[in-house]
Amino acid sequence: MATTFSWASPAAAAQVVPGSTAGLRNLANNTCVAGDAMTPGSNPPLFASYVADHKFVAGAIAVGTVLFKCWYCTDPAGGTSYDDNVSLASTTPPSRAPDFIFIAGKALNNQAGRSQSIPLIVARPPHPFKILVQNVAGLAVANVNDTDTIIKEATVNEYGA
Amino acid sequence: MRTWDKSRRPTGPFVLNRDSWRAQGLVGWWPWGGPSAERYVPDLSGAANAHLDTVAGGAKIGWLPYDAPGAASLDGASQYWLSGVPAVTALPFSLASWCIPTTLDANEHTTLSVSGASTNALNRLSTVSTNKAMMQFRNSGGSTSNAIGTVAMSVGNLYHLGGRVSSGGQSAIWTNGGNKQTGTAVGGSMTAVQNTTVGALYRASTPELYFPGSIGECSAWSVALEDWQMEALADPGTRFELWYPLRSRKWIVSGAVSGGPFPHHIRRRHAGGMIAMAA
Repeated sequence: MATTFSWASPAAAAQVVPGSTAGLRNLANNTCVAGDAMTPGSNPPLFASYVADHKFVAGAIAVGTVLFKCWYCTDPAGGTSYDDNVSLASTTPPSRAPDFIFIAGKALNNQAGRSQSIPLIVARPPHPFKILVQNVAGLAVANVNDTDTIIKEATVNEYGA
Repeated sequence: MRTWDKSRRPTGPFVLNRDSWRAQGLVGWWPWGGPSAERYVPDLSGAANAHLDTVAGGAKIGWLPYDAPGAASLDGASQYWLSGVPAVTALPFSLASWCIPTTLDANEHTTLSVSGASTNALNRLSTVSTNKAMMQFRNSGGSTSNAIGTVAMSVGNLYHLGGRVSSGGQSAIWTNGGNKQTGTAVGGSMTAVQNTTVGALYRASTPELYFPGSIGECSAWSVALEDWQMEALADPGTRFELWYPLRSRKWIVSGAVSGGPFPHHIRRRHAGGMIAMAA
């Protein structure tokens, strides 16, 4: 007999990389920034989807351009010393492949945009982690407030019966 | 009894199964469907980190109109992906890619290459001689080993190209996991290489011999795969021995089912490792 699985209701979207000056605000091209310290805790969710609200300075960004590359930087030992493959404040991204990316879904030129993560569903670490973001859009992020450019996640589990 | 129902499309997320035979010696893996996009395909092998990018301001790669993202459609004139990191740097090595050519002619069309500044930096999978598959290796002394298939390829069909160069500098080519052909053993060593390219050959900072059509999951190994491995690579089902679906329970069912490869329409639809990462 086949087993049927379905998605549980996803959690409400929550910030993982802020749009403040401590995060994505005015982030220069090819520059990295680390997001909030995330502590999955007990019964951590299995998966997550990410969404990026974004706005860049004036200049053409073509459809399909990769805007952000994102890496999970984990600390399985407790959340105080993250993956040192990269300095979390460095401009140097990890050499490994990103865990998810965002691309421009429409042509951009100083406009507000929204992109979903690719892949859409990502296996979320059970350990404490930060998300390291590299701006690769070719232009600097432009903010007039802390929510113009921000990355959020909605976690989700699955039911089995 | 629980078995894989290979007629069902698995859903992601996926992880690289390092226990898989396909992961042994794997140094480059571009499955088109992870964190990839029209201008960017990362190397998910975790080895060479030869991430592919279209050159700044360069052509965006199109996608085939499948419901799964991942089948790159190249124009054969200007489009290719390039990495400044060579996936392999020495003999022996193996290369593989899926492709659907839209043009087959007297020109050579490269699906996957590792190259450098010298014209001798020539290690690639290609079509050649109107409609045949070729694995080409040229050693640092300029001697070339071409292994050319005898199967006639046709436009619009899906092919798996598997190529191998032994430590003795001998090329071998498989077309769809069969028709093994070998070239002359030329010995020597690999010329210094600087690049990995998909959809073209890239030597001396110049792209050439573009591939018109679509290219799927490309792979590179720093070992000479065994014959049976080169044959098994052409079975799309073996992809999931490497690319393990975390939500695998969704496609494991009770009862006996066929253990064969995907039905033809599934293979065609998700040509060359282009199963979506997302549900």
